[in-house]
Amino acid sequence: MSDEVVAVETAEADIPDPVVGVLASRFVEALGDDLLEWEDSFGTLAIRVKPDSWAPAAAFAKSELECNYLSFISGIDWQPVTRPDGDEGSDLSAPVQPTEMTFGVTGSAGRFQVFGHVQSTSRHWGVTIKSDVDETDPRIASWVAIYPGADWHERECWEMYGIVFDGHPSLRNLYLPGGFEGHPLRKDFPLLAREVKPWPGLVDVEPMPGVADADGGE
Amino acid sequence: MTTTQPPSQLPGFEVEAGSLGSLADARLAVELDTGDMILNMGPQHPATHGTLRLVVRLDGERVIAADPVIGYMHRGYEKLTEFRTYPQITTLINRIDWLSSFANEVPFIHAAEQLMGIEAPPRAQHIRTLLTELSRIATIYLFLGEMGLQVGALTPAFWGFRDREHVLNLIEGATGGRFHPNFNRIGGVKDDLPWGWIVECRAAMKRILDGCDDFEDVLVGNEIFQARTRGVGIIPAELGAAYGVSGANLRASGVDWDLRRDGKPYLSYNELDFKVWTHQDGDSFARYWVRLQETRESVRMVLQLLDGLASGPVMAKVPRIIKVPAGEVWVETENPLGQMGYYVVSKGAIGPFRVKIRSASFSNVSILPWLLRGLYVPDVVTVLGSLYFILGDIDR
Amino acid sequence: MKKLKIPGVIRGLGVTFRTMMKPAVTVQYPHEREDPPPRARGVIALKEENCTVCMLCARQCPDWCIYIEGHKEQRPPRREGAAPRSVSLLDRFDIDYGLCMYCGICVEVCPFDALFWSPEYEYSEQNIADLLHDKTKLGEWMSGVHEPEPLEIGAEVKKK
Repeated sequence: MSDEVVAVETAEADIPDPVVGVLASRFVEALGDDLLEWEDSFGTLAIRVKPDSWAPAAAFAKSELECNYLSFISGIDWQPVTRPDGDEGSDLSAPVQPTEMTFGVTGSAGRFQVFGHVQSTSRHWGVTIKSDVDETDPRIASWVAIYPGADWHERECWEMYGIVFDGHPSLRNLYLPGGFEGHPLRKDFPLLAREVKPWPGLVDVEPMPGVADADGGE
Repeated sequence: MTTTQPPSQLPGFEVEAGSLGSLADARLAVELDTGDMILNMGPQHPATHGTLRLVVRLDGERVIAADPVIGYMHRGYEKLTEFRTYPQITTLINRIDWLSSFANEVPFIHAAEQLMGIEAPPRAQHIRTLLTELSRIATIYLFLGEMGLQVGALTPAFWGFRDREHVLNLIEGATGGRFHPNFNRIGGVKDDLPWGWIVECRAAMKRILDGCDDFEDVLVGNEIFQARTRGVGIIPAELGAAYGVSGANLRASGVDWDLRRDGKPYLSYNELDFKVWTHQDGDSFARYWVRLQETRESVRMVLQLLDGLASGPVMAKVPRIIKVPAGEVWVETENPLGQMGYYVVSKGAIGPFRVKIRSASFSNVSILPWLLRGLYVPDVVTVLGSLYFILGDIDR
Repeated sequence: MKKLKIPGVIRGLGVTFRTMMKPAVTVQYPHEREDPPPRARGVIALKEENCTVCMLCARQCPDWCIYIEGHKEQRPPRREGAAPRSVSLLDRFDIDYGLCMYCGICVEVCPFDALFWSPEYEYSEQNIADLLHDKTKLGEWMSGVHEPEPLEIGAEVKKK
């Protein structure tokens, strides 16, 4: 079962990484239906689990797979940024992302996800664990009991995305001052520096080289 | 500023049997009502390496609890990367860990190259490895000097800055910038090395080795240095790993883990022959000793690279407007301060959709609340120095 | 190595005495100067006759510190009987060095080689508004621009 799935998922590498397959099968064994999807993303295993299995998956990785090292925990907001197109003063140099909501490897159920990466210093493998978070009531279990270092990562995720981690000893702002309103890394929070200053690239626009007529230019 | 509170609010001051030397001490200890003091080692402090604020609760001179308050240098990198193209982001991420700025660019560019499926030519890989090891030498050599400063030796700090200038001149000669090279491009490096660079590099490496010997004579064998650093701030290996402590900090606790050798292959490290140094004690002295040996090892690696520098182009064929295909990739490298990684989510545009920057010092500093309990205030300074974090790396 | 066990303090003092005998490395600026290498990113110079107001530098600048204004003019055609051609001329090309982060993206993306790096670094001002260099001042920096230097052995020789 796992062999043919591995051959489909790895696009870039010619030889599928056997370690990834082995880790995936261990997770499938332990979590069963709670493991929603898994993929070999450039040689690293990425799994998506149900929100209730977010902490059990980490506990399994720590106890059974010797993943003693916590790399990071963070969140992601899949909502596309809505930008006014063709407006005077709008920034045409910033990258244009797709306007429909697409998800990355292992998919997603909605707008918010948490993802974390844990590794083993002795076996030299790692796994990225992802889980969906409900948009209206973003809550998920905390990893502090499993990895004490999750303390600061979860505080950062809370202040940047508004995701509440149940079981965290004191969920308060890490970077931002106490009275800060809003959650900056959400896609509906604008980047104020770019909103305030008019874009200097709009005045008297010359067609780009290659598009200009044959007589123009030097 | 000792606060004296009415006795009813304080816990009883227990006197342990036999813990006090003389009867006079016992009488004194029972009669005084002492309370804990909250000391603010504020954002402006010479020992905190930047704008780190440590709120410590002291009992006399012993720390009971410590709470680092960070964010004075938060620049919002992860939000910025959502609005910038790949070359612009390369410029910005130089400034995360500003002492070893070339090493910050490497994992990001490597991630973009993996998503695009292109590989830089061998000479570009060698030049990248050279510059990464040079920035490692520049960063850790400064640590060797300023660790003396933390415990009270003023001279080594100047030596750290003086010999580092030679390495910075090398980086400037190749890239144009001493601190912010901005030299990596998707597909290779921007330019080739200028004429005479290799000879200068060998001369600078000789100076660095001599400087390392000086540090060993002045600091490592010094009885005062040993008394200040031995047994101070011991990080147990498993706890350190669970907190995410990485780099020389974890290797000083006995964990034999170095991403140049053990992680996914990147740059030219699989062609080099190098040793990974560990120490069993896990205290501040061990961290210093490991970094001293790592500097010497980096010099050996640079000399190996100079001997085997490949010829050829420094840039692969890339399209003019670089659109990175959709995908997600996690790339981690062994930066001078520890494990640095980028989780790049791309949706096929000229800039990424989300970049999660995993910086080493963030996790190294998160262990401070646990580590500082029970230490004296001067030892707090020693521990802060030995963990070696950079504020830009913590706060991003 | 050493037969005697010399206390650490004594060995350290030996290093101190050795260092005392060596000359100091301090460069007494401003009386003496060290020249930065030719590639050093000191200031950006503008060659106005090459600029076609394509706005690529202003667009790609991460800090939005380049301000460009231009207009089009008609010029006589290159050969008889053809239509007059329009050229773009610069009215204003300002770089705000208070914002510039010396990344070099503008110099790299310019398709017409109108921007160059110069290692000149002594242009600090008392007034922060004077850090906005207009196109005359940017043209003056061209005198400090170095020729491209020869490369190390093993570099690829580009065909002209």
